[in-house]
Amino acid sequence: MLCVPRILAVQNKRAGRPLDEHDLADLAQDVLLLVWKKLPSFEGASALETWVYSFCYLQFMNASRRKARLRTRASDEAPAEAAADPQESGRFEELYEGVESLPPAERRVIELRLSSELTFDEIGRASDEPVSTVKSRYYKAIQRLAAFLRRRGEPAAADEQPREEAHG
Amino acid sequence: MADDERFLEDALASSPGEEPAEALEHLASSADSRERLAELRAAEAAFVEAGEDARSVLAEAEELHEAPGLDAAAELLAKQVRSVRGAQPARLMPLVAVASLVAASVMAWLLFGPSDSGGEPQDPGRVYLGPGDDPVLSHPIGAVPAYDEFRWDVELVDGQRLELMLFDLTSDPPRPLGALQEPQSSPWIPPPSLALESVERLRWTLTVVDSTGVVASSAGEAWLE
Repeated sequence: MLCVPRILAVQNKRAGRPLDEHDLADLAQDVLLLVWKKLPSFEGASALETWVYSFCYLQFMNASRRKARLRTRASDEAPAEAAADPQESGRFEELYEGVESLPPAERRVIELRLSSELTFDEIGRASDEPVSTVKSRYYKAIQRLAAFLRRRGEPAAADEQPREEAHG
Repeated sequence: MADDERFLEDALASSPGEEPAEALEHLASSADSRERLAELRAAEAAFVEAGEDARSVLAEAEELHEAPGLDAAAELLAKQVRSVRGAQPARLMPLVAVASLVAASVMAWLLFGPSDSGGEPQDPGRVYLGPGDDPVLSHPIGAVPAYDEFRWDVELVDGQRLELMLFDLTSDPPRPLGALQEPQSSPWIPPPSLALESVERLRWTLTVVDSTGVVASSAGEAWLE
């Protein structure tokens, strides 16, 4: 879990350093406490760093926004000269929020497939499940995520639940 | 509708252009299915891109020796681990197991610090576990042709069990390899999924625990010849 401060430092650098060193140290502690609380749900199927990453990403984006708001309120100064395009640095935020909203079994398949780049066979072996179950979970997860993204993009879009399947 | 779902699932599980013939046939006959698959593929592509970005950040983070809050984080984790060790074991067993892994990581980082990836590995010295002066971690220690099996000698009493952690010493700080292992006896054969053949130099810690926490612990260092 000592990867947390280093992940945050890299994210901060890539985002144009919106947070200073004190902000980053505070954020690292906050994220560690959050991760610690969620540790019982970590099943060990993926690397700990991969599992921790989305927490770092989302908390970093929140902290950057808070900092930007404070800066705006505190003075009429121009935004930090090094600030990167916030849309660019936060372009995956909705994706990670979508992943957070998935049922745990589907979230695990998505993380293993798309973050750890495992094949369906490898995921099946890692989670001790038939490949057909893994593929079904993956399909449902992508359906939910597509609906999640559609809903974020178009507030009146369709239901987020995946359609029922006729086989398991 | 049931068939439609099945064909879409089969198509999505395949790489674009490699969909099963049956699914392709169905897609050719249904504009609605093609549209749905395109939407699913787009969502999938976005996550593939996010995954690539995450791997790139993690790789860069692994190279960092300094980061704001790193020392404080190590202290915080050590404190959390101590508090878990004192908690009710039955209810918190999953947390204790992961906490042990974290404790081992923190200990490795605090005790051994950033490893020097260049030069000759240090002499691992003699390693001891339990009462008496007998060295009990016997293999792998020092230069070995392969990390084929891990051997030790220790006597457990009722209620005690073993926890084994492996660390890649070529990472800075040492990176835990896989999850916390709970070997029943010596020798322990590492699963192929750990891919130890690609680890140039490793440290392994063997800890005896009971319901109150750590009873004894020892660490050994080994590297490939």
